[in-house]
Amino acid sequence: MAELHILGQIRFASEFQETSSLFCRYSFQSGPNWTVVSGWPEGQTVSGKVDNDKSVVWAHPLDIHYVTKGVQGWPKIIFQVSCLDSIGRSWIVGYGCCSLPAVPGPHIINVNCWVPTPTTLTDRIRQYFLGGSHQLIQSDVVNLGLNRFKLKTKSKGSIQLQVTLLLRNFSQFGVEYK
Amino acid sequence: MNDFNRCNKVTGVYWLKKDLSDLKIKVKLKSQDGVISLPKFEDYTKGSNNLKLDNVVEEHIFKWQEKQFSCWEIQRYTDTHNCITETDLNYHELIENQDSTPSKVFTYIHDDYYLPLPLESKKKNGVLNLDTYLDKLSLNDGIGKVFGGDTLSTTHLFKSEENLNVDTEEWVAMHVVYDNSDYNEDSQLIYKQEATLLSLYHNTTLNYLIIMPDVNSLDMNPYSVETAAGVPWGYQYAVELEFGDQCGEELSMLLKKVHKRWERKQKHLLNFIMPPPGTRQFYITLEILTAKAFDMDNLYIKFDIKIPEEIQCSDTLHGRTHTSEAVKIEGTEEWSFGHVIELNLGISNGMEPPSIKLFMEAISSDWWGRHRTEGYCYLRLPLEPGCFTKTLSCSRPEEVNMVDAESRRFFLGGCHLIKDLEVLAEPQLQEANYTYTSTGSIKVRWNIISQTQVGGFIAPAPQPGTSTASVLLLGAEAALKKYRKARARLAAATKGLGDVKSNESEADVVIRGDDGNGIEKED
Repeated sequence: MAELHILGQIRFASEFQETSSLFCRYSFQSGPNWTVVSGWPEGQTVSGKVDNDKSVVWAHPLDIHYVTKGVQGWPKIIFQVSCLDSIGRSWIVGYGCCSLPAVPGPHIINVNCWVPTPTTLTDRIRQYFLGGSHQLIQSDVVNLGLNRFKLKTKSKGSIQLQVTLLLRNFSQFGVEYK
Repeated sequence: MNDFNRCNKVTGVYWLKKDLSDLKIKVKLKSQDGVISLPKFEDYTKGSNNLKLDNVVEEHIFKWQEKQFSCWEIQRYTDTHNCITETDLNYHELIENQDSTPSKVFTYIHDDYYLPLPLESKKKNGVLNLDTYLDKLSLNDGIGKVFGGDTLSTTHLFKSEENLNVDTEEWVAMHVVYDNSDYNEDSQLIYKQEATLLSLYHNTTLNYLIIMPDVNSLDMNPYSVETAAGVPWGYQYAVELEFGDQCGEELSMLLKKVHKRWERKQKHLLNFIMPPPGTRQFYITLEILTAKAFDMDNLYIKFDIKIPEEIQCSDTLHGRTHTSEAVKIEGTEEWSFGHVIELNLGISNGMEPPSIKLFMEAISSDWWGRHRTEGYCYLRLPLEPGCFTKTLSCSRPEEVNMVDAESRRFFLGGCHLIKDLEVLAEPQLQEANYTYTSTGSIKVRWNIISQTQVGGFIAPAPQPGTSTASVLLLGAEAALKKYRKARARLAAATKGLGDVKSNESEADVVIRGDDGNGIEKED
């Protein structure tokens, strides 16, 4: 069995247009060969107000230990950024996904986010005045490229992720990663 | 070190699997190295000239509740007049019949009642203790006065089963004792001096054995024989316990079984998925991240991957991203995609891995449904393991007549301007005497891992039992997941409709019933 340690943090989100607080739910997705030995592959950050630089600092720690019996299905991380307004309503303002690098060591990854746009004029007006957003029913669309061409989205800001990867025993099984 | 040796006696507790009839208690005794162990002057003058510093280890083996008599006990029990109790008489008979020899290390068994049992140090049960504490705090006074009585008797009602067991605990004791008494020539006792080497208490209720001191080694941490006041007598001893061989056999059998099961499980887990022999597998994760600085909004990217013939690939090699509306960051328009493409390529082992070609076309769309090519770009992707990021500049061919071209583009749109994308990769081979206009840029990131067969590892044979079952399970899980999702969607959809829906459904039934044939029509 080969092992992969993912250590790091979700640092901040920037350039989101929302003025309310932002928080983020994340989830690690991997193939059937991969098993989480320790750590939480899903979680949620704190919600933070946007500062003058249009960024929200989360500094949410990540520590996951995977064991695997195959290279296929290398872990990915999916983000779902939501906003929380002053009267406690929350809705999704961004989806994002990135594949984790296979090179050991520290990495800084920027994950660009997007959100489905309102399809009708009424929806646009409602969202402008009342808030709210369209959501994906099948969240698989975020990490799988298939069937995505039907989607009309609006680009949002980005999330900065800082991870350090430790790989163990991969070279024993003939895996070359750098 | 001396202090440690004096204090190294700890109590051991053994939970027993069966009764103590097979228990063997071994006590090894040897004289301590030091002045006492030196030969006496008389011995030296009488005997040979050689100094004898033999440290002979005496070994005494006792069974559970086996009576071994000391010299004074034999003296006492031989005479019938000294025997009063039934136990004394039994001992008298035993000595008469078996011709017992006195021993320096002897035993007191449970019938002797010489030494205290742990029963005396028994703790009071928790409920009573709590009451006594409450009494001490004098919290009970007020309540006691109100109800005018002591409620202690009712506490027995709250005793748990565990507490009741404590009351009925029974102990069986055995002591191994060293006899250091002084005797005269006729073996008559002058001064009685004994030291307990070992105390064993068996709790018959819960079936465990307390041994004080615990098992030790004569070489590593011997116990010293000493009086109750701590004066050493120049002897060291060690204790060993044997619970019978069967227990060990059972344990070894159990361990073997566990080990076999573990090995079987590990074997399945250790089967790392390897590429077929003679091939090298490449796992590529390509991400189309962002696009920047294109003319029109609502952009999507169409990609086409071309793979040389010698590479085997079963994945989809073309597709397009979602349509994205721009966001302005520091005055530049940017489109986010985060589109992940995964490829699994296989090539023969001896070959140098060739590069693959990635063609991308950025296309914009407007609210009228007109699509326009914004730019093309090409990336030669060498199959080299690692993680890479690149920003690709895009360009599109420009017609000679600018006015015609621009007006056509504005009014009609138009995409897929280049039929054969190979022209981007090898422009010199094609007749391409038209000019290009540079447009925006596309940022991509890719990650390549390669895997080959290593000498020691062979591709695992498919395991019929486990793999098919797991596949079946996965399928079942996926089906269940989909079913739950569909059900949740249905529930969510029907929830908001409420009463209106119920009225409508009645009307629907009426309309459906109009068919007359009793067959319902579905939209």
